[in-house]
Amino acid sequence: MPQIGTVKMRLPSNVAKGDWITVKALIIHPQKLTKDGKPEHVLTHMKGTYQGKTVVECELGGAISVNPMIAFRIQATKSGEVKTTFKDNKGKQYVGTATLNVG
Amino acid sequence: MTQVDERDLSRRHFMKGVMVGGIALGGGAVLMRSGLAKASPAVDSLFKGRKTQSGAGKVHLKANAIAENGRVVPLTVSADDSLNVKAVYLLIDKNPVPLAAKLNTKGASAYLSTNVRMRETSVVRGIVELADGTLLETSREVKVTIGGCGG
Repeated sequence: MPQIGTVKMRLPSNVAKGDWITVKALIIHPQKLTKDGKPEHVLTHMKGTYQGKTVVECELGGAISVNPMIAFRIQATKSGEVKTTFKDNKGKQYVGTATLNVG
Repeated sequence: MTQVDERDLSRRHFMKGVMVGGIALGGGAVLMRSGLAKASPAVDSLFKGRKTQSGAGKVHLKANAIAENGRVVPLTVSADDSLNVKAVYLLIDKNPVPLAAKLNTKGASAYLSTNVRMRETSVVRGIVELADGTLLETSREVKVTIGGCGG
């Protein structure tokens, strides 16, 4: 079992300039709820950046599954780093990065 | 003679009444059904009474009709690129907290795909908020089976 907060990212290969691509991020997280369904240890935010610029901001609720996968779509302009940052309600921050090769 | 007439009349009245009532009831049921599809308490409390419009053909919600395992239900909401989308919402009506995820687009496409957990069979809604504040909604029922016995 990988450690909590491990973020795995998947990007398509063979991307041409101007393509819309799907970025998938999978994070190892317990998403724990209390017995009456209140959030105990859950992810609250996800932010996606491309070339240092924020492209998506996501607010997450307790309904997100254990070890969730979250995907969003961006337009590839040039090669660069795609980064996703997750935050949970215990103040922890988890980061995943991947390099997008365009061309 | 007069007695028969009266009885006949009353019977006719009765039948008329039943038929009219039946039509009214039927109509009422149809109205209620369409009303239910629009107004959900989950949507109302989130958007404070703002009405959603049907996003049929513009907003797409990808979900299995039957989720075998309520712990991991893959859902995808997407919208046509022609729309100027500000945010994408994913709601599950019967969850304790209906709002599962909200995505603010800042240059990304109006697309959100994730795995959620569902407590029971429920209507799932994908709602897209446009830059001018219009809310477009597409909903679908997802059945959650326990033990694979069907809903």
